[in-house]
Amino acid sequence: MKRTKILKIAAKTGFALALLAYLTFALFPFFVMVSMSFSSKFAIMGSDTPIWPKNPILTNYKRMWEVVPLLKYIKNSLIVCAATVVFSLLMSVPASYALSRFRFRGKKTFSVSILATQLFPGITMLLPIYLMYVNFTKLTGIPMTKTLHGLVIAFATFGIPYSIWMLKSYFDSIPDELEQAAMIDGCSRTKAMVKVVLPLVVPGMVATGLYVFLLAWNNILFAGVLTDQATRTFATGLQEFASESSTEYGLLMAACSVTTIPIVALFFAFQKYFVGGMTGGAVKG
Amino acid sequence: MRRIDKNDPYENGGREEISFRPLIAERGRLVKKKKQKVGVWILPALVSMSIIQFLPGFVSIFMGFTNLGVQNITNIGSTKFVGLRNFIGIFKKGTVTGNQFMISLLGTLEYTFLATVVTFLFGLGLALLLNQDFRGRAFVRAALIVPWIVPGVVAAFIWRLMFLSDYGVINKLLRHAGLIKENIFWLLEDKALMSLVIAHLWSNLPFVMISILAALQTISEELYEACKIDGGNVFQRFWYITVPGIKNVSVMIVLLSFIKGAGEFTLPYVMYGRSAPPGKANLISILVYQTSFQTWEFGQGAAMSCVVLVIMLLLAVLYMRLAMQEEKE
Amino acid sequence: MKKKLLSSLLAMALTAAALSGCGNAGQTKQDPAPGQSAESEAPKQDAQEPGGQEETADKPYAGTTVLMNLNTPSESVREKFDAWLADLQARVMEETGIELKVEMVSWGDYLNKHLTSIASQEGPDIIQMGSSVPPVIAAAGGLLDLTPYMDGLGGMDVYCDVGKYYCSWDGKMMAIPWGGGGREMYFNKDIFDAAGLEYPTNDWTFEEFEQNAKALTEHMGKPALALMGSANDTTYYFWSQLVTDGGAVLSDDMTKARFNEQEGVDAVMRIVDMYKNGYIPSSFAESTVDDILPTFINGEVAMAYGSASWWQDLVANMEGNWGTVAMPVGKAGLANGTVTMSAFGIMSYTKNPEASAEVLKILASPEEIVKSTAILGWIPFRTDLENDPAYADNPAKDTFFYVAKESKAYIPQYQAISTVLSTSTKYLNGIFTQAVTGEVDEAYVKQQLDALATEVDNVLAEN
Repeated sequence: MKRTKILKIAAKTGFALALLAYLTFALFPFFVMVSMSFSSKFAIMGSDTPIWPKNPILTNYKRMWEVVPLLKYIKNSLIVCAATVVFSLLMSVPASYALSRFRFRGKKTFSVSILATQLFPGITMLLPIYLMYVNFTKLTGIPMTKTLHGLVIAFATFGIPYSIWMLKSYFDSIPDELEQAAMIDGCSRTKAMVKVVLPLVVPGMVATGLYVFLLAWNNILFAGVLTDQATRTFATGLQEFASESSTEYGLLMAACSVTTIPIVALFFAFQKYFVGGMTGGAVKG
Repeated sequence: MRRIDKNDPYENGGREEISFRPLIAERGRLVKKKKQKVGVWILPALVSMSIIQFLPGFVSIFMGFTNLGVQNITNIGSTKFVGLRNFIGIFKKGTVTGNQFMISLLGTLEYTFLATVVTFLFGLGLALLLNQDFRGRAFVRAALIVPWIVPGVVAAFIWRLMFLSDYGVINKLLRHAGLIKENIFWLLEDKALMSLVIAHLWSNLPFVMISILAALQTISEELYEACKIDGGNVFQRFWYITVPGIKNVSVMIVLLSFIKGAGEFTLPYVMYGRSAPPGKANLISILVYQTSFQTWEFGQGAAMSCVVLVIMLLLAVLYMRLAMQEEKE
Repeated sequence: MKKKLLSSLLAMALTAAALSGCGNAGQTKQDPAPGQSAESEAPKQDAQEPGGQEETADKPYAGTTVLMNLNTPSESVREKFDAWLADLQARVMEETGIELKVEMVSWGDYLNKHLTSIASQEGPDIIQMGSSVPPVIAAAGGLLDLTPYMDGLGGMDVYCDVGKYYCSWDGKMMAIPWGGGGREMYFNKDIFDAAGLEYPTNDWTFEEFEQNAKALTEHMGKPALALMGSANDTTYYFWSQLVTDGGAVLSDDMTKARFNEQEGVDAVMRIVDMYKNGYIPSSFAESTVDDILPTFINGEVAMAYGSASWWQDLVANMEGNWGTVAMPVGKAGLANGTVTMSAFGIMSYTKNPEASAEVLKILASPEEIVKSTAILGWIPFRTDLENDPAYADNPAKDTFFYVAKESKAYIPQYQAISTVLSTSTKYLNGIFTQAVTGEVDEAYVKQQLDALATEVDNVLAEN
C-alpha cells in the first residue's frame, strides 16, 4: 500500500518535472525574444548583459510600425495563409480519402510522385515557377507575380503533399465499416464520406490546416521573390529590419512578439478540436 | 516494431483496424461494383500539383542537363543540352563544388537522420504527457505551440544569439551554474550540427506533438478501461493500445520530419551568420542555393537537386516499405 | 477497363500539361531574343524619334514610367530617406515628366529578385547593387552599357578610381557609383586614454597596431580587438592585409590565385597569432557584422574592424568617444583597407532605356548624390564632392578618403567573384576556427591556402 503511494508520488513528480523541462525548453527562447524586444538596439551584446534588461524600453513596440508597414504585411500574410489553408484542404481532403479507401491504377505512382516533389530541394523550382508565372501573364494578361493570389496558388499547392500524407493517415485510422454501414443505408459514397467520416477527422484536419498555415506563414524564399512592396508577407517583411550593416534585433523581436500573441490565442480557441471526448466515442464503431 | 501475439487478448480489442484488413483486398472490387470514380476525388489535387509542382519539377530536372547559368540567363533560348557534364562536375574531386557536395550530402544525411529521430522521440513523449489529464492542460498545450509560430528567420536569429560563445545566454547560464569553465563554441565545427538539431527540435516539436496528440485523441478511452480491467499494466496498455493507435500517424510524421530536415534552409542559413556555414553543416539546400542563386549556375544547382532527390527518394521509399511491411506482418 | 481508361486519361493529362509547359518554356526561349536585339538598338532609336511619345519637346518622356528598386536603408534614417525619395520623384516628374516608381527591397534577397527579373526579362528598370555585384550581372548581359551616357552623368573624371573600377566590366561602364565606405579600424578613445595610449593615425604600422592590441588587452584584462570571422569581411580583411604586405589576390590577368604565396601565409598567420596571443576574442570565428558593432558600442572591445556605415550608430550611441583610422600599413608600406559601395545600374531588358538614363542623370546629379549619401551616412565616390559641407559631421570621412585614394585593396572585379569570395571565406573561416579550437601553424595555413588556391584556380579556369 505504502509502496504504491510512493510510486504514485514519484510518478507525479516525474511527470511534473518532465513537463517543466519541456516548458522551459519551449518557452525560454521565446522569453529571450520578448526580453530582446524590450532592449535597446545594442544592449543585447555584452558579457554581463542580464537575461532580462535592467531598464526595459517600450520604444521598439512603437518604432516598429513606423519603420516597416507591418500591419499591411500581417494583413497580407493572414489573407494568404487563410486562403492557402482553405484551398489546400479542399484539394487534398478528397485526394487523401481516395488514397486511403480506393484502389486504383497509378496509386503508387501518385503517392511516390507527391513524395518526390517534397524531397526535391524547393529552391531549384523557384526559377521555373517564376518563369511560368511570368509567361502565364504574357499569354493571358492575368497578373501572377506580385499578387496575393499568385502566392496562394503556389503555397496551396506546396501544402497539398503534406496534407495528403497527413490526412491519409488519419483516414486510415478510421474503419471502412462506418461508410459501408452508411452506404448500406442508402448514402452515396460522397455523402457517407462527408457526413460520417469527415467529422471524425476534424482533429486531423485542424492539425493539417495549422501545418499548412504555418508553412505559408514561414516561407521567405518564394514569398520574397513572388511579391512586391504592396503584397509582401510578414516573414518577408521582417527582413526590412536588417540593413546592409546591421540587424535591428530589438524591432525584429518586438514585431515577432506582437504577432505571436494573437496566433497563440487563435490556437487556444481552436484547441477544443484536439481535445478528447469528441471523437473517442464515435470511432469505436 | 509490433509483434502480434495470437494469444494476446488485447490484440483484437486494441485495434479494430486489424479486423478490417481482409476488407482491404476487397476494396478494389467494392469500388468497381459501386462504379466509384476515383478521378473526381484526386483530380483537383492532381491538376494543381501537375502545374505548380510536377511541371516545374520536370523543368528543374531538365535544367540539370543544360548549361543554364550566368552566360545565358538573359537569353534562356540559347541554353544548350550538355548531357551529364553537370553531374560529373558535382562528383569531381578537387573542385569547389565536387569537394563541398560530398561533405554537404553526408552532412545533410546525418542531420536529417538526427533531426527526424530526436524530434519524433521528444514529440511522442510530449504528446503522451499532454494526453494526461491535469490542471492547466489547455494552457500548457497553447504555450507549447509558441515555437511553431515564430517565423523561421527569427527562430534562427534567436538561437544564433543564444548559442554565441561569448555573449550567448546558454554559455552564460552554464557558466553561472558552474557546469563549464571555458565557453563552448556551439556554432563551430562538430557542435554546429548538434546546435542545428536543437534549434530544429524547438521549431518542429509542436507539429510532431500536435499530430501525435490528435491521433491519441482518436483512441477510445474505453479501450484503456477494458485493458485495465483485464489487468494490463501501463506498458502493456502503451504497447497494445497506444502504439497501434498512433502508428499510422507516426509513420507519416517521421516521413514529414525527414522531408523537413532534408530541405532545411532558413535555419542553417541564418544561424551561422549568413555566409558559408561550417563544413558539413553547409547543408545541401544551402549549397544548392549558393550554386543557383549566388553564383548563378542553375544547371549545376539543378543537377545537385536531382542527386539529392534520387537519394532521398530511395531512402523515403525504403522507409515506407519497411513501415508498410511491418503493418502487413 | 474503366480504371485503365481513367489512368491513361490521367497520364495523357499529365503529358499534356508537361507539353504545354514546354510550350511555355519555348515561349521564354523565343521572347528574349527580339527583346535583346531591340535593347541594343533601342538607345539609337529613342534618340532619333524621342521615345515615340507624342509629347512636347521639353518633356519627351512624359507619360513614361520608370521603376527603380532600392535596398532598404538602416532603420534610423528611414524617414529621412523616404522624404528624399518623395522629393526625388517630384523632381523627376517636374523635369522630365517621367513617373518614377520606387520599390524598396531588402538586402537579404535583392539579388534573388534581380536574378529572376533578368531571367524573365521583366522587372525594375533601375537597380541598386553592392560592390561585387556589377560584374556578375554584367557578365550575364543583364546591365545596360552606360558608357554612351557618361557625359550626362558627370563624365568619367568626376568618379574616383575605386568607384570606376567596381562599376566597369569589359572596359565599359555598367553602373554609376552612388556611395559607400571603407573597411577601417574603429577605436574606443576612453579605453585608449585609460590605458595611456596615443590615438593611432592612418600611417600606423602593423607593429604599432600589435603593440596597441597587446597593451589594450593587458589593460582590459580581456581580448581588446574584434574582427569578423564568418562573413565576407574575413576575406576583405585578409585581402587588404595581403595587399599592404605587397602580395596580390589574383594574378593581373585574373587567371591564377596568388594569395597562397608567402605574403598570404604571413597575412593569415598575423591574424592567427593575434588570436593565440589573446588579443582577439575566441568567439570571433563565429561573429558577423551584426555582432561586432554592438560589442564595440558596449565597450567590450577597444578596437573593431568595421564598415564606414557604422558611424551614424556610433554617433548616436557612443557620445563621440570613438575614432576611426585606416588599417595598419603592412610590410610593403601600402595603405590598407577595402572599399565597398553601392551603385546604380540600368537593366538591359528595360523598355525605356532613354527615360531610365534621364532618371539616372537626376539621381546621379551632384546635388541628389550629396543629399542621399548624407542621409545614408555614406561617402560619395565623386572626387568633386569630397569637401562638400554635407559630410563635415561624418567623422569617418577623412579615413575613408584616405583609404579610397591610397588603397589598392579592391575586391577583384571578376564574373565569378562571388564564388571566389564565398570559397575564400569558407577556407579562412576554417583556418580561424581551427585556430580557436585547435592548433594552427604555418605549414597548416600554407596547406589550406594552397587547397583554396587550387579551388579558385579551377573557378577561374571554368569561366
